[in-house]
Amino acid sequence: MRRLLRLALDTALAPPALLWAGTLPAAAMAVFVASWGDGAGIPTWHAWSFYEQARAIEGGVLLLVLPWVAQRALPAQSRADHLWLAAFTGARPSWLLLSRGGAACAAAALTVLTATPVALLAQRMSGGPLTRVMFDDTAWLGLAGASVVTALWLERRICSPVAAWITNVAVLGVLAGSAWRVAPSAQAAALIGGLAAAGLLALEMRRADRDAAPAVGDVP
Amino acid sequence: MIDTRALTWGPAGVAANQLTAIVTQGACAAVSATHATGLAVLALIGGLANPSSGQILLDGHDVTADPAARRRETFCAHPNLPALPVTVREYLELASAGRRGSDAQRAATPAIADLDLTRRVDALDEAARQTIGLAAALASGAAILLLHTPFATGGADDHARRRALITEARHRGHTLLITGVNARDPLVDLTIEAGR
Repeated sequence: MRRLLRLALDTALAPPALLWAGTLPAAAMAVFVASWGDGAGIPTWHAWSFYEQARAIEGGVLLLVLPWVAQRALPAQSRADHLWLAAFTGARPSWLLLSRGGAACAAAALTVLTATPVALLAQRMSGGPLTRVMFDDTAWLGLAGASVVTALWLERRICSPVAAWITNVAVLGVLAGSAWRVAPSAQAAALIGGLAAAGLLALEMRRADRDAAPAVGDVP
Repeated sequence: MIDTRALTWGPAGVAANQLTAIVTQGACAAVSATHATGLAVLALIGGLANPSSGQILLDGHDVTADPAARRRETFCAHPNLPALPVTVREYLELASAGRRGSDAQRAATPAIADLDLTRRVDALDEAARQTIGLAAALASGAAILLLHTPFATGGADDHARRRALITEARHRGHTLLITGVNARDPLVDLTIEAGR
């Protein structure tokens, strides 16, 4: 499993575009923080604190970027490639799926955590407790996991990468919106995202273990 | 041991493809068939495809309905094995990643002693990759090795190297099923007629 995970990590973190995508949420937040100045002339959203507004901007960017990172970090692998790799390594296909998903989760988590220093700065400027930054990051990490699992689920069902990305953005938006409305806290939101992801992943792993080309004509 | 009982594949109504064969442990069987049928037989036994009907028993266990078990018990060496972005050494380790009791050191034979293990597999040519694929079959430790057209690529040197690897597999007691070899080849113990 260690070797498979290392192979998946090497492949997942290789695209240089991921580096740029990973810095986007932090950059958007940093621009907001830097342009705030003394706050004069900056419109405020309801009664939100400076930190909450900065987080909202980061969240908007993350909603668009996380599905893209999840898709790019999962290297294109057709069903035939997956079968051959399972036959080559002798590993259960569910483990291969898990290692790919784990590597993509690492890339998505890095995207979320890159913005943490700026979030800490924003919370310090707001005068709120710094622990809230950790709770909010936890919620986004749960949603990042959900985005990766959605990308895994979509890769065999939607061929067009753009359509898959749009679908993933929509799913993540609904999940984040639901968590926002239903959950009383960030931890609960993380739990909802994490549980949804775990359930979908379990279904995909079960399907992967039973997978074989249905007919000899489909042999890779 | 491989035991296939009335194995059929292909669309219903065209089920003229049928295979009943027993290959005892440690034997080397040549599959006498067309290229496509030979690949189909290996794919069925190797868990890459599902049969239409019949049974596949590996070492007495019916694994017909469990493709993952078939993939774990066998190793299917093919000219187009995945060209992974890893070194040859890591490739050999990956071939044994999911199999119990496997060891990449098993691939260490005189036949590949002069190969540079630090070269990347995705940078090798097709012939070298096929030879590495056979070495990976040894490294996998799988009891049953399914070798699809092992002499399809490369020149005389490559073929000699692969022949040495297959001979080594025989000495180590692996059960071998090979396509694309002559029934009179000294490597072969028995021939299985497959297909129409």
